[in-house]
Formats: sequence, C-alpha cells, structure tokens
Amino acid sequence: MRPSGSDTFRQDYAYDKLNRISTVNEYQVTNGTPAELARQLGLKGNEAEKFAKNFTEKGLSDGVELAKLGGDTGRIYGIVQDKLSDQRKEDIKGKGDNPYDGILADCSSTSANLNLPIAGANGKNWSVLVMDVFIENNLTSKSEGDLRIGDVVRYGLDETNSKGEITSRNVPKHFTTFIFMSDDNVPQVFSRSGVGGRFETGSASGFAGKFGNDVDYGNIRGIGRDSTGYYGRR
Amino acid sequence: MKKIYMILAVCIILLGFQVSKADERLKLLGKITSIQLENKEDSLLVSIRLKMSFQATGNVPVLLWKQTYPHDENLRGRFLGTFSKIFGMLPTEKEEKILYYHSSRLPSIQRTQGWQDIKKELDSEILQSTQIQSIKSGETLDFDAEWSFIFLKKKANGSNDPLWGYSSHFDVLSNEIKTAKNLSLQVTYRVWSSELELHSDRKDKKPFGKKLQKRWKKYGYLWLDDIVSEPIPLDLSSAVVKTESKL
Repeated sequence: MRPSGSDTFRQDYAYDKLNRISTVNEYQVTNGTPAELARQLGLKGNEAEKFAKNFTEKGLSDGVELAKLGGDTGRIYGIVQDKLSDQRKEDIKGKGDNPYDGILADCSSTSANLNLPIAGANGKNWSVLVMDVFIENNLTSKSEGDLRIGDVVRYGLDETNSKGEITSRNVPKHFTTFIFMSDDNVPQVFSRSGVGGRFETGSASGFAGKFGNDVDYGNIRGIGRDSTGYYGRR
Repeated sequence: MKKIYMILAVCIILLGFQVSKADERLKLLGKITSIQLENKEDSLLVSIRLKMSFQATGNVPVLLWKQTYPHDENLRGRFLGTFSKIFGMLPTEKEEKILYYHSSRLPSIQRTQGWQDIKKELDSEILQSTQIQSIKSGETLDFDAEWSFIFLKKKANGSNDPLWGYSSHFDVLSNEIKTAKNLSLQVTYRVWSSELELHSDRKDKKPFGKKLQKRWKKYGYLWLDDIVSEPIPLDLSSAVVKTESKL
C-alpha cells in the first residue's frame, strides 16, 4: 500500500505529550508552483487558472494547508485530514479499532460523498452496488491522465466458486477517491477499506488485489465496457 | 453528593463485571504450525499458518454465526481476521511493547438480496443450524488460519510519514523484532457481520444481533463482538526460508 512519494505534497503532524504523532495536521504544499499544484490536483482550464489566481492573490506559499484552500480541494482535504487524524488516534490505542462514522461507513459511501457533497450516501442507504448505479447516473469514464481531485476509482472482481468457475463477472468490490497525482505521475487515493474499516491513503493500484488473508478487492476496472475504472463528474 | 459518587462507583463496578463476564464466555486460542519467509525484491513476506480454537469457557454454550457469506465463496465458512499485532520485549526495555500491527481490509457494504435472505433465515424463534453453530461449555471449535506480514526492505520516499502505508516495518523487523525477546502474536477476528445490521449514523449497537441474543438465550449466548486471541508465542527462528533471506 505504499504510494510513490511526492515533493509537492507533504503531511504534517501534531504530537501528543509522549511525542507520538496524534493528528494529521495538514497536507502541505512544499515546492510546487500554483500551476503545478493545480495540475497535480487534476484541475484544468478555467478551474486551474482560478485556483492558481486564488493561490497567488491570497499570498499562499509553502506550508499552505490544502484544507483551507476552499472549493472542492479544501472540502475534500478537510475530510481526508479529519479522517486520517481519527484513524491515527485509534492506531495509537493499539486495539485494532477504526473510527466510527455512520456517514462515511465504507468505501462506497465515502467515495460518493467526497465526489458529490449532495450524494446523500450513508451506511444505511449505500452499498457497492448502489455506487455502481450512482456512477452510471452521475459520472463519466475518463483516462488516468485526466483524473481530477474527487474522482472515483472503481475496483471489480470476477467472483468464482470453489471449482474456480466464474459465478459473477466484474462485481464491484472497492472504491477510492483520487486526491492528487504524485510527482512521478502515480495517482494517489484516499479510501475507507471496507465497512467500518481503515481510513487510509496510498497509490490507486496499491488497493487492488489481495494480500495474505485479506479480502480481495480485484483490479481497477470500469463498469461494463468502460475501459479504465476512473470516473469523474460529467 | 456522596450518594451520587457511591451510585456511580457501583455502576462502574457492575459494568466492569458485565464486560469481564462476557469475556469469560469465549476464548480464542492459537498455535503456530508453520512460518515461512519469502524474500522479495523490495520486501520480506512472513506467512504464518495457525491452528485456532474457539473455546467456550463459561457455563452456557456459545453460539456463532457460520460465516455464510452469500456471494463470496472465498470468505464462506471462514472467520474474518481484522487485526494483528506482534508484541515483544526489547533488550533496553522492561515492558513488552507492540512492535508491529496491521489492520486487514474488510468487505464493503453489499446489502444484496443474499444478505436479506440470511437475515430472514436468522430471524427465527428456533435456532437455524444452517446459520448458527453452537460450542458447548468446555468444548472447542477449531479452524485453520493464515496471516501474512510484509516488511519493506528499504525506505521509500516519504517513509517518515507513518500514515503512508507501513513503511516503518522494515526498521521494526531489522532493529526491533530481531532483538526482541518473548515475541507473541495476537489476532482479532470478526464473528458477527456488519452486513447483518443497519449502518446507522450512531455507533453501531447491533440491534438485530441483540434481538436474537435475547431470543436465543435458552440455547446459549450469541457472540456478537469481535474477539481478540490470547497471545500466541512466536518463534521466528523456526521459520522456513523460501528463498535466501536474512532476518
């Protein structure tokens, strides 16, 4: 689950009295120019220009907290930071618990709400199957190079029986949210890994497949004939 | 005021008693049967096979859901491991500490007809043997388990960021686990599926499970909580090396 590094995006932390990292304080911009930052967030055209202008006009520079940038970037990074901080607090306790969140209850409700704030997804009304319908009704397939912050990455798997025969094709198993393109152009995503699971970040491909006795999330795969498994707003 | 403190103290004692009472009903014990080390280009994979046993240690039988996952045959009949940690005592320290932990991936919400059918079958006055197995007091239920741990061999970019994956594990392996004494493994299993409950915006109280727990009291105690194993001694020197590997 290790992503490639990025010089532009860094995480910063707060420390507790025992000098343990307690909170993900902020995602920081370090070396990037506003235009480069916009590119790595996947912003284009007017949106990118507006972003860069806003960045420059506000006199923002290295160390800026992405959650405070406003727009989709600020909204999404605000949630990412909160949830990673909550996860860290549970990790420090060492009991194996994950943060409770009935709205961002699993991968599907998390990626739907991050993509569209009015999606209204929660643990009661959402599922991986509902997420496929949400995608078909609201989003469009796109290429990896066109990923924009908040876009959805879908993971599907052919389910098999004990004889190895395929029983269902391309069943949705997992969803993540694109948050930035690393300096070496590897898509980085945020995810809740399963119902009541971990809030975590990593490379998009790092969430594919199975490791050890873990649940198998399959591969990055589009619905039906959609070629990529990456989806953004129409 | 004194009275309130006394009542509070009694409540706390009773609550503690309730928790320990519940914990005494079921134990999860484990024994490592094999350890394999696989040397990969960028990491060391440690695969551990175990014989696990649920042991009903209370006065009443313990009832467990049979893990009848409706769609995924790979999960069916298997208890879902959710968390693992390795403990040990470093030469420089006097107390055991956690040297490694790993949260497993979990299934996402499916809420399919298959799950509805299981709920319907469970929602019965009579215990359904197709869905529930009973462990009588003093008896055990055995199952095989496998856990894998990955230790990166070198630091990747940004490896000082603990939230970026599990980067510190290489250091842990080389600098801590290697020198630690009394290594032990503790694993957590999910026994009752979240899919059998509604996922409300309040902390999940497992209302469906609680209803069945009350209803089936005459048969035994329906176990709903995740269960943490007793510490399992871990001897890495007994590991079989798949390819050349230096621990």
